[in-house]
Amino acid sequence: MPDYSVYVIAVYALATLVYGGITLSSWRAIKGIETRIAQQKNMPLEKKYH
Amino acid sequence: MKRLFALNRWLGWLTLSLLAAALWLVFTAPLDYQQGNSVRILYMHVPSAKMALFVYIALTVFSAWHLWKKSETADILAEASAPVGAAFALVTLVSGSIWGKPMWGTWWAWDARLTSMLVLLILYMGIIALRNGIDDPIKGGRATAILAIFGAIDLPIIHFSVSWWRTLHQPPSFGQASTGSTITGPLLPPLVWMSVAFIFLGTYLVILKAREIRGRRILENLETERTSHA
Repeated sequence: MPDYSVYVIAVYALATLVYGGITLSSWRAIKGIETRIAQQKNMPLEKKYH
Repeated sequence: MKRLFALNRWLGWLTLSLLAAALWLVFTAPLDYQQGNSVRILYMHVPSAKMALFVYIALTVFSAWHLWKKSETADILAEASAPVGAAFALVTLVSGSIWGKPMWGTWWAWDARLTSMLVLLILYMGIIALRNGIDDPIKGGRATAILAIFGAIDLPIIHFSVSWWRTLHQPPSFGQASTGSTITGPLLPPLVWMSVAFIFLGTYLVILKAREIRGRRILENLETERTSHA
């Protein structure tokens, strides 16, 4: 029977890339967004509006 | 929603533990006497396919809830479901194609199951594109909700395609009431564990995406408020 390892590795690598990628990109986006929200909320009014 | 986001941290750890246990079972399971090592593709392909359908069911429910109650939470959850479902559909199609080459001798066939699954991926992409293409978030939410509800017609077609038409894809081998499972005993535990882990993975990813979308909306409101005061 042929060894199909290369196909198995390709599928698990693809799944890691897709599911890991969507998780990491969301974590990164959340970190950036929450930092910017905190900056906006803590910004004094005169700085906020000028 | 804040409580849900706090719970999601624990859900993430639980998902990771379940995935680790499932992967251990996958790579210690015996080989199939006909398919050999390539049977391990089943453990990634089937849970991904099930989740591509489950996430679309959730997307349809959130869309209907949003249209009926004008709930922003439902709208956020619907928006969050689309990219997650698209990821599951993409992995299903590509893993199926990779599995098809050694087993069927072809990467792709315009078979009813494969084609209806491709339609699901196109639907997910269309929902994402439509929302991004409409500037008004209220109109965008409504338009994508209507498209998602109409698109749900593809779900029974995907599910019954292998029974309704003669297909290259084999008939269902898991979870049939009449025949039970046609998968032999030792190959079943990794599939069950992986399927459970994927239910948690899908839930975790949708809540994570919802947190990102909610944050982005809050930020946009703060920035709009700032420009209107300037």
